[in-house]
Amino acid sequence: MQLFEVNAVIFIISHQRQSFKLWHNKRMKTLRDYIFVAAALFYMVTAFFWSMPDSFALKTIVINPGAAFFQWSGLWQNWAMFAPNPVAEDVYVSATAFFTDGSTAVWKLNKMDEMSYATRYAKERWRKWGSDNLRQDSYRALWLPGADFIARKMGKEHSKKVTKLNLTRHWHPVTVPFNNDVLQNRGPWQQFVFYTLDNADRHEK
Amino acid sequence: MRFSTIIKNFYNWLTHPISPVPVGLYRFFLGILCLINSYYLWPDLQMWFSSTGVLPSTLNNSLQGLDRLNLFYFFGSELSTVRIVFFVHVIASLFLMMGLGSRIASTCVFLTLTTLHHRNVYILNGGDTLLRMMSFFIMFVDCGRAFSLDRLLRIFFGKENPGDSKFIYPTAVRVMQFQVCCVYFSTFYWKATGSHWLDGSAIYMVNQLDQFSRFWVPSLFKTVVFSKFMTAFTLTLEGSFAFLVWFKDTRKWVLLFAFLLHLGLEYSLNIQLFQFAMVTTFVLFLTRDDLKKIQMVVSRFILAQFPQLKIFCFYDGTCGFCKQTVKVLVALDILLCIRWIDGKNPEKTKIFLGFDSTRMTSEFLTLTHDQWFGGFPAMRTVALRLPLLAVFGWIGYFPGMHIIGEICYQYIAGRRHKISQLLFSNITCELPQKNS
Repeated sequence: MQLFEVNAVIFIISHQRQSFKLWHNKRMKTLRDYIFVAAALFYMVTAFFWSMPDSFALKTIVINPGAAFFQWSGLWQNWAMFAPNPVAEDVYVSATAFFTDGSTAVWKLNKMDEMSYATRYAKERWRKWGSDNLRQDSYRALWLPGADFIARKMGKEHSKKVTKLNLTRHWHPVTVPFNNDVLQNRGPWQQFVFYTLDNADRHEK
Repeated sequence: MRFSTIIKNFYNWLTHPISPVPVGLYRFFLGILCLINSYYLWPDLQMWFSSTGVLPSTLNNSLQGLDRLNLFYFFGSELSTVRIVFFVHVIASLFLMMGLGSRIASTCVFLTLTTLHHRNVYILNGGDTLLRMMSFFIMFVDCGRAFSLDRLLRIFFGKENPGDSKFIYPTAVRVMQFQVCCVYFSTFYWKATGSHWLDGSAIYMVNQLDQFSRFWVPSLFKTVVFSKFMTAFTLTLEGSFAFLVWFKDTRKWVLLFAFLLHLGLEYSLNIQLFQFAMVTTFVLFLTRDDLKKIQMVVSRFILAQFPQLKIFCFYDGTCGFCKQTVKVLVALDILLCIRWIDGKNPEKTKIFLGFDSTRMTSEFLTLTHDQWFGGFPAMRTVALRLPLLAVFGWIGYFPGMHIIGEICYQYIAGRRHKISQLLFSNITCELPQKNS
């Protein structure tokens, strides 16, 4: 009889422990679900507003709480490709090097259509760097280090010292009258030397 | 429908476990894309990322600030450090593609990729952004449950069976799906405010840009009519993708049209890897049944063209090592061209003319449409029919390989009882032990 009572008590305790364990696991799983759902919702809302134009209603208010994390973690994003309108001009950048012996050399950094199919695909980042960033006045901080690197590279390739290097932007418009006759109406190429690196005494213009 | 029902369905959508097959396949594609991206970055590594390149680290830190995830803040950006980070990225991408240590690999891929991106943001395009974001989310997914070496190892050691992958927690996968929809809707919204997109001349203008041109595009595709049609088509597709992809009836059509759009863009525009980065994310919207159907269609088509691919394989059903090996090979049989038969079951082998039961006790047998193979030649025949092992099958035909292969095969086959004991604690081998 005593053995029966002891066994009954052990059974009740172990059953309660098992029930508690199941209940606890279920609660933790539900808590985990809530946390993950909350994090997912937070990301979805912030990402949606982040990828909209700055004029989008409430954008600044909504993205503010998560802005620091997005910037730090690399979740910042912009999907405005060829938008709001495609760029209206073809652009490339060239570098003209002047050597100590008086000779010059011109290097078209990112004239993509003059490269082979394989090269232009591999060098696409040159277009991004040169046409979208380097040539722009708002990115003048990139001019000196960019020109310095190009001067070193051209000097090494020609085995001569570069005394001066000009960075030139070339562009011609593609906003043509909207008709069937395409090729005859493209505008002429224009160019402008936007930066000069004077290696003789490192004077900049 | 009640509002509470919508909330409940949304909650279940975010928390109800799902099949790991689509995200496993996407993990494989993501690894490949990271490797290809690394291949294109390698020649200009010094130029883009080192302090002697076009952007010294001090300038980059002043322009971008120090509040970005960038390992170069701690280790400097000398060329040697850049190379180390780059090689870690390549190795991690390889492991991610293979699905070996998927969690650790995905974390390393994200850390190194984000480091490289934050080191020089002036060379990044939309494809880079998408790869970086997807590598962040895939850290939170159990992406090694399918299409992975991790899974093959679990099958080999008896912890799983081919065909039944454990379901995974879906929240991160849902966020990835949402992110793809966000890309399309966001670009639609931006374009909808542009005059050239609204008057139909946007595609016309893009076709004139030599800086983006890739392969030759016929004049027909540079006309007014085509431009208006494609501009409207692009806007409609991008605007509707985020909504139509969630319905079964419209999902396959919107994915198909989006695939065709990106195919055309990859042909005509020179934007590195962006189209591939977008198209591979479509896998996330497919279900396991969709992928099974695709597998069946592809398999039937290939086997109809090449019926000689179909073979029968006879293995020793009393050997634990053999059974586990067969399970792995079944998982690798993507073309479904191999029929596996327990060679120790007379009921199943009696219909095969020329079946040698004595030979069966010592080696693995295959039957092609006209010939029996055993031992190493049989394994070679099987390897040729498994896409992931086909290279090894071809190597098996090199001069001298049949001798080396046969020696290795006999060595392992003679010790399969010991191997079973060593590797599998719960799988027995009924074969009598052979003294070496």
